[in-house]
Amino acid sequence: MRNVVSVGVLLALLVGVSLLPPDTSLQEVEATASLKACVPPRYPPLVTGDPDKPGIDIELLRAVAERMDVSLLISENRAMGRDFNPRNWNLNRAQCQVIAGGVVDSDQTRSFLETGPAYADTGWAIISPAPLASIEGLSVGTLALVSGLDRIGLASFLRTQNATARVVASPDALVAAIADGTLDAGVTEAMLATKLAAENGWTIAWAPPGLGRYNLVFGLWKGDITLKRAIEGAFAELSADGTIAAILDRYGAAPID
Amino acid sequence: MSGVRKRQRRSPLMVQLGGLYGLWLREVKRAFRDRGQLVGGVSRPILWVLILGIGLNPYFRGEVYGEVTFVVPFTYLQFIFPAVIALNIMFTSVQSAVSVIWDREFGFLREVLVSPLSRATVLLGKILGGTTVAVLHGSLVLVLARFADVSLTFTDVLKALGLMTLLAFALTSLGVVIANRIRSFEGFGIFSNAVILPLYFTSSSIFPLDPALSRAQTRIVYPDWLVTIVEYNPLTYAVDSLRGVLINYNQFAPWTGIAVMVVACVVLFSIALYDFRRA
Repeated sequence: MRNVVSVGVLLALLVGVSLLPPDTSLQEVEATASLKACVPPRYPPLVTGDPDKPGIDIELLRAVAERMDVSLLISENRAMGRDFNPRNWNLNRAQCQVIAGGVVDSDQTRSFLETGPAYADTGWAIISPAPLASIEGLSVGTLALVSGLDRIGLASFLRTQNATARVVASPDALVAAIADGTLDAGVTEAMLATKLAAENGWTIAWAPPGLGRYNLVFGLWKGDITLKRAIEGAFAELSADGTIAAILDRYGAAPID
Repeated sequence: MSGVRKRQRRSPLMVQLGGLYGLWLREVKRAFRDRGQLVGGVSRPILWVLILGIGLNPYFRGEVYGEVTFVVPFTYLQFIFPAVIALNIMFTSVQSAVSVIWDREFGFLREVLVSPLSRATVLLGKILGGTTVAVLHGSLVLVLARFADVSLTFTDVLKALGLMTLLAFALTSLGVVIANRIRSFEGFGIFSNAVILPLYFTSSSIFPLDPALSRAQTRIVYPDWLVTIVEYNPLTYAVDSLRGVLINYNQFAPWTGIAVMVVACVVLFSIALYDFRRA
């Protein structure tokens, strides 16, 4: 009997230890009563810059912050929309605890960041004014922006299709080039592609599955486990009461057929 | 004759199996009555995961997006977690072999050896007992999975238990090999620590040989002699296969760990049996 009690006490000790907070990330958010997020200035429909309809990621983060009983501080980072290399964005812990606006749950992202819960699917999608049988030999604009999608895979795919690839800097530039016939089609992240296609009455299709489909997530700094758990908890509540579905609906983030 | 009960004769196989069970049960019961061993089984994961893991975790996390020395899909706590399971198994397995010295010292071994049990059965019973206790001690670390942010599915746990059993069997056999060569308790304690700690520290348990680096690059990051020792240490592959199952990260081909452990089980048990027959 004494042995059973000893084993029970030691197990209870281990369970107790496993409930201790492994880091101070949540404590920091609670101490300042604010959750800081870094986003690109514009990445529709995730970040729009429109105060009335600020974007899916901004609205989701607001809802999460509200559940955590803290305020949301948005820090716009211009480099996020401009530069391919995350190192050049110079994002650090002092600026934000969450990175949003098109972060995908890929191996590359997970090598640098913790990832929060998934709220939508994404991947490379092709938009064009008319349905395309293939993009072979066409002139294609690529708009990568912030997402951690496989750019090397996309470049290889375009090469195998003998497509002429042209990198564009913004959604407006992509739309303008397709509209004036400079480009035959555009390749970008699926949610953005859905929005651009809907606005312009164009067609949209997934790029080949070999290029990968991913979940859209929020990025957190590696090792920030307590904050990640708090955000996951808030997300579970928001998912259960239909808030996430309502936000996605409002922005017409419909899945691609 | 009518008043004399006929004793049922048990088949030789049943005699061996009954003896095997008895010896296994004795080892397990003795381990659970030994509070010191139990406390050690709990304090090791607490110290290594809670203190060392938390203490070093900030030095391995990214501070600027995209700027980390090694691009690795885990935190330091997650990285060290499977290694602490291996550590708990190592200590318990090797220490459980001290019972061989104990049994020899107090005459129990002599009594068992004159029984109808074969020496292989006696040895297997002791090693299986030690293996069971070591796997249980290794499983204690799994309680800290939530703390280390390691998500485990039922299948992951089953696979991990399989690997832990192979590792524990090989290490308990190693402990018996040591116990057969060292005749005193004190000598065994010192010698087993001299084996356990170097094996553990050179098994890539507390630092990774990054798989993103080529062999040549690895030898630039770390001194040549250290890389060689790590690559020749069989425990490296056991820890690596546990990492593959628990945090989905392998530095070597996933099958290597299983192959190394199976070979270690066969070789070390054979050596232990050879020594045991000669003793």
